[in-house]
Amino acid sequence: MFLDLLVSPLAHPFFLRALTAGLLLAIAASFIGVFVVLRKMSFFGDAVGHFAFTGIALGFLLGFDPILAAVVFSILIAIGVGYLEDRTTLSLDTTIGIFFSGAAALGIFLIGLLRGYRADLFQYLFGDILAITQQDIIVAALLVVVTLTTMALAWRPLLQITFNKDLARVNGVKVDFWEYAFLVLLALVTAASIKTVGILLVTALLIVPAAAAKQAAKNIRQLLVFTIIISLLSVVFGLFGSYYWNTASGPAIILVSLLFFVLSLLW
Amino acid sequence: MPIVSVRDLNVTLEDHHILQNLSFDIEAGEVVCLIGPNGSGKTTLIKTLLGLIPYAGSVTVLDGPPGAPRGRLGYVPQKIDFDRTIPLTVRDLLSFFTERADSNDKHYKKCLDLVGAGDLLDRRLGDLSQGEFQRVIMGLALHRHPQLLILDEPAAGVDLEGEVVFYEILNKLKTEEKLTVILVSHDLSVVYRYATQVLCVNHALVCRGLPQEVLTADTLGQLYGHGAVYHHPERPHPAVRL
Repeated sequence: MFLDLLVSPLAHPFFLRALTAGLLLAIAASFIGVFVVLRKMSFFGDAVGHFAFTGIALGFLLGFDPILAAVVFSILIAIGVGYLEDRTTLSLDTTIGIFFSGAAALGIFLIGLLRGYRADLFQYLFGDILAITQQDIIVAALLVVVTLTTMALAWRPLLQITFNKDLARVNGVKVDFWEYAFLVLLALVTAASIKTVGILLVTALLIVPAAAAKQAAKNIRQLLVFTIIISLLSVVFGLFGSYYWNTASGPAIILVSLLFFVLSLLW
Repeated sequence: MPIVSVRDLNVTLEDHHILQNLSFDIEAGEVVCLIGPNGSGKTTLIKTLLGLIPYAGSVTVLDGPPGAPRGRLGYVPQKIDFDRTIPLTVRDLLSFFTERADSNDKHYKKCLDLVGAGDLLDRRLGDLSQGEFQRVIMGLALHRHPQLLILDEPAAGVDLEGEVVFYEILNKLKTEEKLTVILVSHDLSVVYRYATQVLCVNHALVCRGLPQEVLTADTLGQLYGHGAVYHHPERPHPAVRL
């Protein structure tokens, strides 16, 4: 009986595709999520989701692949935010707030320019496992390779920067380079996760598992391992829940991760 | 050959002249204390020597430009605004600041033992007292066996007893490890006791010399305003602060 419940969704190719893509994205998102939480960048992560939304609208309007457009647009705006923060007296949250509202307004404006009702646009808001293709899996796999390779090099510099930027600089870390590299990676992972969890919930995928892990972890290695485990379990349980209750995949995945967060508070 | 050489140093940040025409040398083995009122440019001078901010003039640190010294340098910042809820142990901290070849408990323990913190390796940073935290940061600064150690008010926020221990450790290290030390301190008893040279900074270099010569009513008046007096203590602690 239980085995049937477990196996029957796996018989559907669309479910297998969603599970594979979801698990791959969970791994990539975990590495980014740890730093989003440690560096208190949740608002930035949320904003990047909105940049991606505008990118998707631009993609539809100009006839480009929406996800590719989201990736390019998110990266450009994320770098723009970093650049302005460095070169103006504005605080990071003010700079993000400006871009955040600007991107959302532009996205809605662009959607208004699209002719007719675009149901496919809504799959990007809430995530749709039926929409995940073989190509999305390849993109997710590439993303994991890029994330792991970058993190192998960036892990120590980023932790040094998180602790204290001046100490990192004196220790020879190229702080600006790694901060921008992280912004690019954050934009990449966010845009690539949109199909699975949707724009509205993509930040939660980055933040909630890492926040739950932070409650329970005793050291930095545990923090990363717990984040990965919680992300993977959230994707698995969330997708099965989404299948059986016939709901959007994004909210189901995030609700499971929230359950882990509640459990972590009782730790 | 001086370890630090500064000529006509000027630093302007956002149209404010923070440092004007500073010139001085620091020789190997010296303990140089920077004193001056709040906002006088002491931390700016430290950050210039570390290559963290742009400047005009000629500055050489360990035979190289600031930020790219040809020798080993350690730094203890003024205040680390660290989120104490982060699950980071002392071992974690040392592991990502040290070279991979030195990433082992034996090396970490050696650094921490220098500052009497060998028993803190497994502790979470968030659980340490301010005094223990500062000693760990000092241990971190020593991990590459620096020739030059730069400390910016390292004992700020540490209780008096912790402060005494901290400076005793520093003095021992200076002798045993043959360190050259640049230290920002508001504590004139520390300056009087440990410094071989005092630099009085108030945007410009107000005075420079041995503490016995510099810590006079005249120079202190120039630096902190008239009425500032330092009584040379029989015992250097409790701390006398201006």
